[in-house]
Order: sequence, then C-alpha cells, then structure tokens
Amino acid sequence: MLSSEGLEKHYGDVRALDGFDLTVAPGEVVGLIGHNGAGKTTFLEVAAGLQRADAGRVTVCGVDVRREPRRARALLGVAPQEVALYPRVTVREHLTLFGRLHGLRSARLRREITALAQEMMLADLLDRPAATLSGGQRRRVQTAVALVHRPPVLLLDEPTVGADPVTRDALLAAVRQRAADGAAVCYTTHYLPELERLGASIAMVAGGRVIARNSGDRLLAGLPSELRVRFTGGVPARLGELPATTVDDTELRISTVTPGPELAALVAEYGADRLSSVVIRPPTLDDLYRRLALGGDHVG
Amino acid sequence: MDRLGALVRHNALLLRRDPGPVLSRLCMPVLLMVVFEPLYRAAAGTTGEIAIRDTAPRVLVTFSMFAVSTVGVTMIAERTWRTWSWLRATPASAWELVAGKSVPLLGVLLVQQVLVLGLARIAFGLSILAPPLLLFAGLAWALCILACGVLLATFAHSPTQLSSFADVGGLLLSSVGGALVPITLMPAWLRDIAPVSPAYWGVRALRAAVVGDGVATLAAVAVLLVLALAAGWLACWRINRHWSRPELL
Repeated sequence: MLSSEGLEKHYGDVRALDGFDLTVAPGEVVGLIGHNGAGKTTFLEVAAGLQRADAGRVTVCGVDVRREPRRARALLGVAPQEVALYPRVTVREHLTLFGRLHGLRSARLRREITALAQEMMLADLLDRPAATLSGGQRRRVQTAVALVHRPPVLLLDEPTVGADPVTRDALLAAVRQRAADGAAVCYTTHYLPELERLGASIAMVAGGRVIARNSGDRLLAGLPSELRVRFTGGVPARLGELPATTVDDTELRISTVTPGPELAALVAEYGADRLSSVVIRPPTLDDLYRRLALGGDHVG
Repeated sequence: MDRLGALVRHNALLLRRDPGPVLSRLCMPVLLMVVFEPLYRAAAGTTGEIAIRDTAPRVLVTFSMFAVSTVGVTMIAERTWRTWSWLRATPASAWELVAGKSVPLLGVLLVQQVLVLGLARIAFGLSILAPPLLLFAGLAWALCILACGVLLATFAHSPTQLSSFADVGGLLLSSVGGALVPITLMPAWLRDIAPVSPAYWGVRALRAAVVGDGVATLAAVAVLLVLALAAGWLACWRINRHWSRPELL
C-alpha cells in the first residue's frame, strides 16, 4: 500500500506539492491526472525517494520513505517519465541489473526475465542493445524493468507516452495483471481512456494537491452531457442565442446535465419531423480533464 | 554485497562496450615515459636507476590524474542517459553506487601501474625493493584520485564543465605536486605549497615504496586514504542530497 499525508515540496517560490494526500490500496490502480506542473511527477519522485519532501510523510507498505529509504525502495517498482536506458546494454542485461539490485538471484531472475519477455513482447529483443530499439520497444523495456522484481507498489509515470497501440496494449495488460496480483499501482497519464481500460480510480491533481478522488463514474456524475441535434432546413435562429449552446451549420449542440428533458422540449416546440438526427454524448474523462485544465473546480 | 557485485559487473560491462578512453589512458603513460625519461634525467642531472626511480612515479601520477575525468564522465553519462535517477530508485545506497562505478576503474588504474612500473623495470632497470609496499601505495593513490573524480562529478553540471575542471585541475595539481615537473626544479614558494596537492602524496608514496622506505610510504598512504575518505564521504553526501536531477544538466 502507498500512502502520503500532507506532503509539501517547494522549489524556491514554487509550491510543487502543497498538502498532497493520497492512498493507494493493494490491488488498486489510481490514475493521477492533472495539467503539466500540477505536481504529479514531483509526488512520484518524493514517493520513490528521489526528492525529499519539505513536510509530510510517504509510506510504502508501512515503511517511511524518508526514515528508511532503502527498505522503502526495495518495495517499489519505478518507471520514470523519460526513457532511461543504457544505449549499449542489452535488454536482458538491463533486466538482470535491476533484478539483482532488488535482490533476485539467478534461478528466479531467469524465470522472471523469461516470463516478462513473453508478457511484454520482448522475447526476440532480449539480446539487442537499447540503442537499436524503437521508441515503443524502449517503453516496454522500461516498464519491464520496473516490474521484474514483482514489487508490491508500482509508480508509473506516463508509461505509454509515444507508444504505438500494440505497445500500449501490452503495457496496460501487464499493469492490470500486476494489480490483479495485488500490487498497488500509481499511474500518471494524459491518455484518459487508458484509465478506463485499467479500471482505475482517479485522483485529480492541481496546485500540488489532490483536489478530487473517486471512481471515474462518480467524478463524471456532475458533468454535463452533450446533446447534438440536426435540424432539417437549418437550426432555428433563436436556439443559437441560448446559453451553453453552439450552432454548426445544421447542428445544434447543447451542453446540459439534463439531456432528456431538453430533447423533449425541442420535440415539443419544433416537432419530431424537423429533427433529422439526435445524439447524446455522455461526459468522458477527457471532458473532466479539460475542465480541470481550464481551472474548473468540479470535485465530484 | 550482491548489489555491489551487480553494480561492479554492470560498470565493467559499460567500460568494455566503450573501451576507447580506458585504452588510451593505459597506453599514454607507457609511451610518454619513454619520451620523458631522458628529459627528466637531463633535468635532474641523474643517471640510470636513480633517474627512473624519479620518472616512473611521476609519469604514473601525472597520467593517472586523468582517471579523475574518466570516473567523472561515467557518472555524468548516467545523468545524460537519465539512468542515475533510476539507480537511485533501487535499494542500492550512494556508497554502493559510487563503489560500483569506482571498482572497475580501480582495476584499470592498477593495470596501468603494472604497465608503467613493468616497463620501468624491464626497459630502464628499475629495481623495486618492496613490492607489497608498492601495491599498497598504488592502491591508496588510485582510491584517492577515483574519490576525487566522483566528488568532482557531483559538482559538475555538464560533461564539458567536468572536462574543464578535470583537465585544468589535473594539470594544476600534478604540476604543483611535483609530478609533471620534478619538485627540485620548482620555485621555492611552489615547493612550499606542494603538499596541498594529492599528486605530491601520490609521488611521495610511490617513490618511497619503490626504494623500500616503509615509514615514508605509510605516512603518504595515510594522507591519501584520508583524502579518499573525505572526498568519498562528501560525494555520497552530495548524491544523497539529490544530485541526480537531470534538469541540472
């Protein structure tokens, strides 16, 4: 389990973390979302012991990261945001090094490397130097290194940036599997559909703290849907002047939390014959994210 | 120990995959000693074995000073590749990371010493009166310059900055310490400040070991080991203060 309480971290006048509280239970995937500079990466660096917090506390499976950093780091698997590999070192040598640094011995290490190579589609790449790999392959290696010792807590910082769909599928499947095996996973991303695929609960980060924490469905509950209606013969001019509406040629778009009654009102006023098509798009995590990025204060 | 072993093997692998800098540092002193020996002999007014007793330790110390930049470059490279942060996120301690970097280069430096002193013995008739003392002195000197290199790397913000520090600093310290130029040829004021340079103690330890002067060797070795410990401790302190952030580059 990963837990942080009241974390603070300042860089000069900048408050990177400002009372950051978060708990990730075993078997849970928590997606940290927020705009660039919100504090997600700083939190992961503090949790990994790479940065020292000015105040507050992080524990990994009950071990205080500041007081017992080496014991805490032994329980962590970390995949940094930037790809960090030795250009002339092979995939197998990377996995061997980091496996050994986490205490794996020969037989188990070989087993883990073989299993991971299958899981992450690296079997044919094991003896190739990192410099000869594509961007997606390097991403897979990077995540494999974080997983090789089967840590109880995973910190994955935008692990799918620049990854192709095949790589993304492999990475997400591996993360899901680790969570199913009981690992607590903290996962930052800007690709919100990934969090839906991971079944992650979501922690929205802004101003160096978590401003909302819930399942995706609950966070979306208060957000408006988009009602799209096409009119035969063009959108009546009056409708374009209503609040929360946009008109695009023959299509009217209404942002509303009550799309059903709004649609019923349109049918009643103009008749069903004038409405050539109707689409109701429920809110998505992207909508939530945009609202957050624009400074919205939705905290569902 | 298992972690340290893994780091040593890994860093030895990195050296093997990019052997150019190490090979040049192994060959350079051997070639230069052949060139410098007559010059030192003429300058010091000595002949035969007496001259080579002076020359061999000097050449060794001068060219092993370049190990300062070699170990520093290997650390800065980790930051360029962004792998240092990743290593720091493992249970390995700062001491293990530093030792893992240093041990393979320690081996290289010992090989360099064997080459230079071997050449001095075979080609110039150097007689080594106390080989165990010489091994002890060589080890202490190698530890001292590696620790200085690691420490320097933790203060450098870029590979070019490290290179500047190491090149200028190395030349300065080997000159002041009487390694590049025999100390007897230096002005009096420079002779007075020579002991501030680790190179002074390196030359002193190696020369004393060659002639079998146990007391002088151990005294110089003690100074070198204190310097090594101090530099190593400070480097680890810097690393623990999160030197790893690559945005410093």
